[in-house]
Amino acid sequence: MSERVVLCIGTKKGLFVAESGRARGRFNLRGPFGSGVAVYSALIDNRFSPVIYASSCSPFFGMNVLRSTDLGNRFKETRSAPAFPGDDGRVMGNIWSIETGKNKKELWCGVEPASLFHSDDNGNSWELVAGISHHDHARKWQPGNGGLCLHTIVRDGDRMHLGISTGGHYVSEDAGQTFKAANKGVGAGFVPNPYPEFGQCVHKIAMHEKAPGRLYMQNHGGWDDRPGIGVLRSDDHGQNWYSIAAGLPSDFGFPIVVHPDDPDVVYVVPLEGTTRTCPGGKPAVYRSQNGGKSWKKLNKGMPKKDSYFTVLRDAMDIDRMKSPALYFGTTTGQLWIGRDGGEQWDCLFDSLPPINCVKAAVV
Amino acid sequence: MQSFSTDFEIPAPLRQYCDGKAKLVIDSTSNPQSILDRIAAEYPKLYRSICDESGKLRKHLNLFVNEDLISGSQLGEIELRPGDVVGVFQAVSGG
Repeated sequence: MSERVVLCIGTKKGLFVAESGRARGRFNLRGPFGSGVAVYSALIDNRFSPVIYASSCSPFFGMNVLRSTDLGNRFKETRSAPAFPGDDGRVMGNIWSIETGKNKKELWCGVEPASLFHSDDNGNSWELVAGISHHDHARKWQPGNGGLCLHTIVRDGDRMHLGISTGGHYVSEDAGQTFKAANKGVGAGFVPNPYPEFGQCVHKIAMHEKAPGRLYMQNHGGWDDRPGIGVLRSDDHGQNWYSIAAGLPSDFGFPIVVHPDDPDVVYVVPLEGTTRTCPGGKPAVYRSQNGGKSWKKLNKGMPKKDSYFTVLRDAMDIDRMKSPALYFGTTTGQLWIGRDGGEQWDCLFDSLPPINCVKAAVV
Repeated sequence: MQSFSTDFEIPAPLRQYCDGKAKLVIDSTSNPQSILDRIAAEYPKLYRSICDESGKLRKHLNLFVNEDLISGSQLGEIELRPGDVVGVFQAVSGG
């Protein structure tokens, strides 16, 4: 069968799956799966035969993990979802991230309140990862407006980076056994110390597998008194960070995405810091082709005025075709495609429920 | 004490976790907590959908004995009688 592009779109009202041929002209939509229940995280694991996972987090009935082995035509709940031990005292609030592990059946899961879980059986059973979940800092982290969430898991062999809001960036060098805060240069605008050891409101971290020492971070920016702390880069596996925000209309935003073939190419969606909407009502994705030294606005095909949506932390992704397309979903239920690396934008779907996450894969 | 069974009504979204049944007949019940304990043993996914990891009723669910709303602290205190019906309902919500 020829290559297809599959999108998983997690919304406030369930998961949608969109599928297209390699030309990415028309996308066919199916769903919602887990109907009526918010989906904040999805994973398309296509290292082997493709498997799709999605969280399904009901405010009434609690957490589930959905799993599909037929490219999202049907989903079944895994046998269990991550849950805190009964004597832990914490109660699961949301599932924010599902990522692959090293082995075929291995998964990692970031949750709210900020903790990490591990599964080695395709998500049928889960174990709390003590190294971060019981970290000395854990009881000192504070929730942001979105809750106290472990939302980003970036793996690099036995090294693992975590993004926690508001906890900051933590890194493990031993496959998730132990973690250390690594936030040198990561600023915070909401505490007296502008550069605390931990407690930053990290929004997203991205890495390219060809340059694993380099990381990009969308941090919580938008502070008039502490400018530039919102978009950051590290060249030493996250030990030190520096600003690459110069040239952006705002250093506030949520997602950050790296081009699949070029670690120097990185994308952000600047938002106005106070309202978290498109600056001036004019949406645009910004692309750097030199690792953050300069930025170019990409908005051809987008509204030129009166557009005030928000793009959340997991709501932008890029496919791995020869000429990759970007995808982002909005809190107003639009799914946009940016063909040719974001040069030309079109709205694929304009009336979905509010979009929490978008994942793209070529299968 | 006389031994009796109690009907436990299941909201539609949770019937997938108890073989599609709208009602379970729970034997030898004494109070609502004893029903939940039995469900935890026999239908763990149903139980986990009603109670969180700490064993408390989920925040947006309401448990009734007949037409009386029961708080979490009363689960072990309410003495059930023959013919009582216990049910779980989703709290009303919007959005």
